[in-house]
Amino acid sequence: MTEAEARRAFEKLASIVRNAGLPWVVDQVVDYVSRGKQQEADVTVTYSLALEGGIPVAKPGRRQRQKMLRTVPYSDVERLAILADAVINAIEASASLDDSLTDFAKNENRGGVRFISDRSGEHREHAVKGVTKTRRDALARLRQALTAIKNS
Amino acid sequence: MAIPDALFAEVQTALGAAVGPSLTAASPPSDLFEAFVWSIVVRAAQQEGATISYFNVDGSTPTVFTFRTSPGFIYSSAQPYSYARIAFPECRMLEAHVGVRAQGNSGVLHECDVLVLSADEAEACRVNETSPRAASLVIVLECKFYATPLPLGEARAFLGLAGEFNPPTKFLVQNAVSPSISKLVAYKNHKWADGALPGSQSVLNLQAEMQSVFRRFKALEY
Repeated sequence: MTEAEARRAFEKLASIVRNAGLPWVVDQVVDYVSRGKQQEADVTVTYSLALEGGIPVAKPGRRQRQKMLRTVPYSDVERLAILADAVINAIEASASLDDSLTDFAKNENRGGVRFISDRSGEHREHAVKGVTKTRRDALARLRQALTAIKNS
Repeated sequence: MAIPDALFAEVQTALGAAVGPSLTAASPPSDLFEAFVWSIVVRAAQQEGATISYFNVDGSTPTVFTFRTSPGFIYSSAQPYSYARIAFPECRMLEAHVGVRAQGNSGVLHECDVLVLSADEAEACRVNETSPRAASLVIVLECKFYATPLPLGEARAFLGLAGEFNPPTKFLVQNAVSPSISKLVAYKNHKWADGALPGSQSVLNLQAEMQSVFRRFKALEY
């Protein structure tokens, strides 16, 4: 896959994910990739850092190699892979949390788990439902398709 | 080679069926994650020999657990929010809550995703409509659910929160794995759990850590 193809694929996948009601996944990915990736760099410098009267100063010294951090941008292929992984992570994790909470409530002899906002004017309410076979099958298909996109 | 359109169509179709009701909101399923971490706290207390009972804020017994979608006050009666009462033999009773505000050492209120505190303090707060004080807290857990590795800012916020709550044991619990976050939190000598999802070793480790906090609590109370 070329960088241009990966860039187009990222936009297409991001649009699908946003329209599926998961804009926060795309937002998190965009934020994450915008920070770039950190790498250790061997850098040659001709000074050494010291404190003089509590103030940091660079004192001339011999030529030496030191380790510093360098931030480099992600490639478009990497960005696409990060988005695909984020979608898989978010959806599989939430399904496993659904299952776990359903089991917990059952073991504690309760009818389930629900979430309700107590902020006035915010009507947010949802209940945990265990993962059905249909949802489990869809999760497997989703993983397969996203992995194929990532590895194209 | 361009990616076949059929793959995107498959993603679109599968997404519709794979997304649960907790994920359709415009924000991450943090409430699910916090409730899950709360359930680990309860399990840890049970493993250490506690008797657990459940209550709603109005004093009724929950038939269904009800939790907040965002942090609120421990005394809020807007909904019958649930909590667990933890009773170790010969010890003061504790309570475990999800998403309540507590007063830090500076006197400022902070949101605590999951909280274990003295039941006496919790009851006084419900009666007087006040917020629990740092000195009454036993465990504070900051829970973060992210689709990507956690941004460093979240760890810095946790470290700020941790500085506000002494002496309780503080944990940063996240579903993702972020080596730089772990490095920073470990460097600052706090506890953390990453990749904390059902069935993971991380959850077992977290439960064991919380058991050790409860063991210490029992030893000091006895």
